[in-house]
Amino acid sequence: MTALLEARGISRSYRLRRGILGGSVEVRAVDHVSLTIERGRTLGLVGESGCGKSTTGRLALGLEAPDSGEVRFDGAPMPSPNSAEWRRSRARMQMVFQDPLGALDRRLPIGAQVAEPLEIHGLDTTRVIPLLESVGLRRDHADRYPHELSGGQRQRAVLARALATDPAFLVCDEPISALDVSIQAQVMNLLTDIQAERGVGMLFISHDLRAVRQVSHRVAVMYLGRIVEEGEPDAVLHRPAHPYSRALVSAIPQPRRAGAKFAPRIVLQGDPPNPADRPSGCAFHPRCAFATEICRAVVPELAPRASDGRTVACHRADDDLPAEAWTKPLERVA
Amino acid sequence: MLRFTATRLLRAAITIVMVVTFAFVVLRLSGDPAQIIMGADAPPEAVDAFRTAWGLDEPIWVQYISYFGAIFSGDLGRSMRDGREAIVLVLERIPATLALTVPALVIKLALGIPAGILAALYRNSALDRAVMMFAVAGFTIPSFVLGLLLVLVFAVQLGWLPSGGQESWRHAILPVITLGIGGAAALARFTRSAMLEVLGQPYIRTASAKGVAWRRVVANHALPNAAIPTVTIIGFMFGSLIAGAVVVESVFSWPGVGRLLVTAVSNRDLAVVQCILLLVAMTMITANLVVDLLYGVLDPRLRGGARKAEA
Amino acid sequence: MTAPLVSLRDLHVSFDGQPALRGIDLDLARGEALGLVGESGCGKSVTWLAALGLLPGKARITGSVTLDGQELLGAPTSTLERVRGGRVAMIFQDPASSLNPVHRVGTQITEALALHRGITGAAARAEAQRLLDLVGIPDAARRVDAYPHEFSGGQNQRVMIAMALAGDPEMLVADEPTTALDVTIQAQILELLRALRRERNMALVLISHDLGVVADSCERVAVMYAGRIVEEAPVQRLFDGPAHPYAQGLLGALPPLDGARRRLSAIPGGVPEPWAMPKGCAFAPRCPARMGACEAEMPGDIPVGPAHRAACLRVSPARQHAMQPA
Repeated sequence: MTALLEARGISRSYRLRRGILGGSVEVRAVDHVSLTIERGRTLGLVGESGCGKSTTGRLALGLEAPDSGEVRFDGAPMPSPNSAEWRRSRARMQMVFQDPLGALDRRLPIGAQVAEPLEIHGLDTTRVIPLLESVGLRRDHADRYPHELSGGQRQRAVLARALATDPAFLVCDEPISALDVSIQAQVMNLLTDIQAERGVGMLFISHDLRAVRQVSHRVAVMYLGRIVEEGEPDAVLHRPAHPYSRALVSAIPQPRRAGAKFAPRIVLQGDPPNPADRPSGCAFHPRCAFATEICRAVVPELAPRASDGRTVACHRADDDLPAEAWTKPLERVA
Repeated sequence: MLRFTATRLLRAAITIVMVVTFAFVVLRLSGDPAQIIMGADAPPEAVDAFRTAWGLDEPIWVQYISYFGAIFSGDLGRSMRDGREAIVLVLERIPATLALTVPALVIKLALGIPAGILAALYRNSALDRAVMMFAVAGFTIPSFVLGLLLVLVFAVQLGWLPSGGQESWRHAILPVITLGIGGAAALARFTRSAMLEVLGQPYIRTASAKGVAWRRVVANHALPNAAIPTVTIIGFMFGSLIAGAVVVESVFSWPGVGRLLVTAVSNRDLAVVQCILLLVAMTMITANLVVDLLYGVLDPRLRGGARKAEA
Repeated sequence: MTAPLVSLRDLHVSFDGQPALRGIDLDLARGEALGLVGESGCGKSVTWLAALGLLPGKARITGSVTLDGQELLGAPTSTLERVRGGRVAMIFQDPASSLNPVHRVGTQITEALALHRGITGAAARAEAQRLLDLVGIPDAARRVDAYPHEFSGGQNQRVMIAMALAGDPEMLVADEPTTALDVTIQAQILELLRALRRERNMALVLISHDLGVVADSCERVAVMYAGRIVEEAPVQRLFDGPAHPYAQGLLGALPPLDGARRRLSAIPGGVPEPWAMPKGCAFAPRCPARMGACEAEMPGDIPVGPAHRAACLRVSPARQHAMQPA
């Protein structure tokens, strides 16, 4: 059986103007990304701002066509944006954004907004109330306007609308980062329930590793447009193979218990690099404690490493890289 | 910078061409200048002779091209009324117009900006409500209504000031006030909302949290930021120094550029109308250019060369 | 025990008659790091803006805020202006918009230097440079003349910290200082705050919605809900054994990093609106352990253990008893 969604070597570049006067530069937002999402499973995509995770989400959803590479949905190539076939395909894949208030039309009651996709695709509009109830909203919420709902309720309304056409594939782009902690938990539980009931495949885009571990079956870590590591959530979180994943995991703030089994905190120096000014070779090398000559020159391929088959894009994947190399204190402060 | 200036100049040229073309087309479509100037009962031979003299018998596109050719060689044409050079006619009216618009601009700035700032600083106070009432009134009452009202009160009822003409400085008072109040109201509203926007910004709170006294927060942190959007409307006011008094000049029979324009339009005196439009378009464009350059001075984010650091 | 640096007593704040803070009692010792956690609208930021007189005029504030025994509520403006940015500095959530876009960062730092340390001119510029260097801005000598938009988000937060340090404060209030930043940059900023605090023995109030951030950087935590502190405890105690059902709920809502993945114990419902505040415990409508008495009256603070208190009727009296000698 084919995967629900398969992206093979997709790339996408944008032209970015520099200032009012400067010329434009090409920014490679997504660079040779391959990913697979199975039915009823979730792939978590983590990375920092500007790493290309949202662009990857739009490419996976077919909202944009990649410059090169191919996206296949249910075994067939993704139709090109705005074609008739593409419009029909929209019913089967949906997106949920970070800001639920921005995603909803303020002038329409919730019920009408959930009914809209049903009308567009010629489906039964009496399903609105059951849909609202399935995401934990009440019948009377149908008549309310977005501003009358709380943040969590709005995100539920967005989910109800996304689920209206019974999609097989859902892209959730930072769906919980605008919500309070207790509400985040509600939405994560809801996503897990929806998946268990309907068997949707999900791409869960987030900067929050805790959230990604909670909802995902596999995790991909992105850095400057490329996936640098991919694997089981617990493998990536507990024994990260790529130096960047190690730094990312180490940066998760948490209580420091006595006798904790976590490695000492790694504090990466410098800012995430600018996608318009991509370092040569491995894009992470300027911030990496283990970079060698080859890292500066050659882009490492994402491939299973020899020792244990973990998928990682690092020239030093099979070397023993001591954590101590990272933990230089902030020299300027000391 | 060169590229910036070049694109701005090109855009300005295109605007001027469009303005002149528009005037040309509208005036030609709305009546026969020869007939209007010669009068309805003029003998047809005389009208035809007039047409030939002014080139009005040529096909319209030939007239259009020859008109542009003349403009580029610096010839703005002659008045069809009295045969004098259009540019001379217009230029001799400019001092009269400026005698109204410059004092009016001073009133707008001196009244509108402080009123807007104070209204924002004392939001929801009686002062704010008074300013806003004044602003809404000044904004909604058309200048001819306001002008006539002032004439009724100060000229007819009280007899303090003359109702029209240009004999003395006292004749200028009512038209200047009429012009000034409307603009001050608009500027007060605009300044108020720009200030309110800025006062709500986090950096204002940062300045207070740093221990800066409120007066200094306003003067040093709020005003420079609120000035950025406000220069747009002030620039527009500078741009309308020449053409901004059309209605008021007519109400007060003030012999400025505005009245010349009204007369020239009703006479279909093409060269004069187009000369005025050209002048107006050029002042507007110059004002806009100055505003753009001012943005660069006021807002470091818009200055060229600055780039986000990648450290 | 030495006198606290800052004491809040029965601090109430309301906006247009709607309560935002409903009686805050809190002490902060010199050099101590206190975390203030809670969800949006719980009043965690309002508490410190009120304490420093930074709320808009329509806010009604009652109670007491003392700094070293000196009352700040109702104090003359000149006193408050010396305290703000001098003894108590603040940094905010969104560093990019918290800096004035039209002034050079150096100017913004020297403004504070002139106000609180009387340093001006070339000496101020040199000190601004030193501060930028101290917070880890590379090439500070040149960057002192740069504008905020020429820095990244993380660097802007460093600039904010440099500006906060300009007055040599005894206490720093950091209001969600890393919320707008990426994870690895967040780690940098927290590390910087920790190092600065160690060096200067500066007290820190870290306001955050993120329990992890607070746990990572603070010694003591106060959990706020609907304008009140519902639990206060040393960090370790709170994470090991939260007493208040709301604190328990918050911890249960945080996805674990290890162990079996479990369904998150999401707190049902949402925060009460200020105009519809329950008469009794504000958390009662969402509380799994609610009893009749909870809805009748607002619970007072009940000691749970050493330096540990919770505002909940369900807190075990046995532990309360054991606590008495302390």
